[in-house]
Amino acid sequence: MTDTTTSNRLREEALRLRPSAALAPVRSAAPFLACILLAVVLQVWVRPLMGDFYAKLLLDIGTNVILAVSLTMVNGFTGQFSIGHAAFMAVGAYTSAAIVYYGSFRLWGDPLMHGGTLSAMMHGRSDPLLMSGDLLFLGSLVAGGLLAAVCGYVVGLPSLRLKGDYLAIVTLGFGEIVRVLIQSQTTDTLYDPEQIAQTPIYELPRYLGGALGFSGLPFYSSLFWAWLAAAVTLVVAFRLKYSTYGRAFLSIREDEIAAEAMGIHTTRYKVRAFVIAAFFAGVAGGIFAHTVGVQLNAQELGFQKSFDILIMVVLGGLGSISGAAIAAVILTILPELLRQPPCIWGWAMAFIVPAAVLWIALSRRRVRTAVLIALALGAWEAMRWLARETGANLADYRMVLYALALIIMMIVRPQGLLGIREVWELRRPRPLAARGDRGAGGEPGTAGGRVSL
Amino acid sequence: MTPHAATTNGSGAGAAPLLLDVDGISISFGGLKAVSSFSLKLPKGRLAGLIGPNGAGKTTVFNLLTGVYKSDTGTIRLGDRVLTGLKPYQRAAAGLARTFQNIRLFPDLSVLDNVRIACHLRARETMAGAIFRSRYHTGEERAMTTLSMELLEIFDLAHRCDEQAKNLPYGDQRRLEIARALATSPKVLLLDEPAAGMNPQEKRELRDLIRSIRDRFGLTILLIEHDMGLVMDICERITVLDHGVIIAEGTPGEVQQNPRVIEAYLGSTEGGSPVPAASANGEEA
Repeated sequence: MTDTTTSNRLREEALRLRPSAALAPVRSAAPFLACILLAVVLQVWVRPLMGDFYAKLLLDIGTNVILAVSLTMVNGFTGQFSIGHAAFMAVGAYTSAAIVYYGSFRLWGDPLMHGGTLSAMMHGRSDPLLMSGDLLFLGSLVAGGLLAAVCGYVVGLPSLRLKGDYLAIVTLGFGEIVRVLIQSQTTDTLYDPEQIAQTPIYELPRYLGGALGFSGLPFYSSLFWAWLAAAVTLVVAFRLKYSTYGRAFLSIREDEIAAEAMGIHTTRYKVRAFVIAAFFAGVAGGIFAHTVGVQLNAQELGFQKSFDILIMVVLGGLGSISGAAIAAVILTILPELLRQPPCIWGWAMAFIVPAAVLWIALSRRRVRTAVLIALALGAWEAMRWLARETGANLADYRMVLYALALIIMMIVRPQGLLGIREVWELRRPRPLAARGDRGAGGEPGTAGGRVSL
Repeated sequence: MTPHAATTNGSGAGAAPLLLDVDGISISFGGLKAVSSFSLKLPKGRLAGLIGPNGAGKTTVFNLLTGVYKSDTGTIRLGDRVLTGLKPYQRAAAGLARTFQNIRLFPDLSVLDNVRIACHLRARETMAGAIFRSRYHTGEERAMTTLSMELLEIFDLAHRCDEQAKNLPYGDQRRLEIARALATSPKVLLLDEPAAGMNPQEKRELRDLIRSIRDRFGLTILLIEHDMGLVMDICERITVLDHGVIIAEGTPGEVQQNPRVIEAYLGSTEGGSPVPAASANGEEA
């Protein structure tokens, strides 16, 4: 083996080792098909079983999973600190809203739902699964995502050369610019079909409701769309993470100078991660805009929202996709739970305790974790007792409690719930070990990754 | 312009083609001239050393070569490619790989991933291919793993491939850095104090390792090292730097006898003995 050109060897080996062509399309498409299947099952069979409130909550969870996972690609993978994620969401939301609203007028002369069962959130209908309105909605989501991605590129290209705080400030500024731009537009929304038909298409995007918000949008967002998008985001994020591109992203976060020296065009990869994240944020924005009970307003998509997403990513563990998703679930449910804290003992017995036991068994942090979980359960009950005794309404304090929970989290587990790992990697002391390609041969005894306090 | 241009080329294996041609590069930081008109010519297959007292500008030279700093003057050529003005990642793509004096691994990633990241430079799969898991992508991932494991095997790290890089012992981390640099399939390898912090046993192994990878991969190696024993032992030519200026250049024997080198190291003009290995040895741990 005197060959020096690893490049050629890599290619030869790659051609030699690639899998057979027979199953390749299946392997490529299977996860995406599974996404569709999951979303259909959720919408058609699970949705009728649950009340409207829980369905809405599940929808919000889906949206937040998209946001958190997409931001993980920037803040978690490449280690860049972006706090303007909601701006991309706003771009996607307004793009999608304008297309659906004015598109509906142009096509059908009214802004009502023209969707099938898959986008029916509140009323069970026996329509066909998909109707033309759904295609319009799907198109608008993709368009919103693409425009957000373009914005991501334009913002990212110059600003990703900055580091640390500077990038954070630029992204924060971008978020405010988007918000102010939208809010400073005319507050008119057109609702006369005649007028809309006569206004040229390029002028329609001026009428987005401005500071009053964009009202009258049809509610296309359903469990199907939200969870389809969430699942696709997850698949893309995982496939990227466990590929040479994901490793390139992670290397930037680990050591930028070394990454450059190893031939990684760091700015390019940062921009790529930024663009992909912006795309999915745009899609999430489109879904958010058409959610029941949401009156689209740029005010809601300011830096507050960006921080909400950021907190999910940090709580889940920077770099962990499943961590971000889990954190998104928890942080969406938590404020609702705190409205009326339920008695937790039944749940604890049924769910939390087995989960905790499993966690402890997997992560080998036996005593400490057990104590922490017991303390958390105790604190919860104490809170309930206090609320009952004093007659205080916990709903008023829920944002305080929410913040408190985060502060405790930062102290107890600063690297987030999962750190850089995924749920199934907890047991192994190392992240990103050769997955699938080889059998793991290392000895399991070494206690790596004990980064916690 | 280049006083040492003629002297560097002669020795060694006859007429090996010139690979790395550095011609009069300089850099100043404010008023300090850190490196001034540094020239170096390395034919293919050469194993050369760069030595000098602390603060002489050795690592600055490496940073200039790899593009971390932009040189104020001069040109750098690798083969027929001009590297001057290129970014570090472009120079890596051209075939220049390096290790770092203060180890710069990807600490939270596994040993295997550290090496596989360096393979990325030669990867051809697109991002879309990665998202849709094309056949070539899968093949390439497997190939990267195979090649990386081969490299780890050479450096006796294969059994630790799943460990986080930051958990490796110091010597292993140094060797992992070399393995990672090799994964970029370089033509020229720059080693910045590869033996720092190693014990004598590890140093002996490292010496053999450096020789063997040079032969095996047909590399041209330039190394900075404070351990005079190691440098004098394996380097065919040595360049001595002091205050950013080349003060001597030649075979180990010549350099050891050079009065200016002795002065730079010992700070006196008298005493004709060659640079004692021991005196330079413990200087920097």
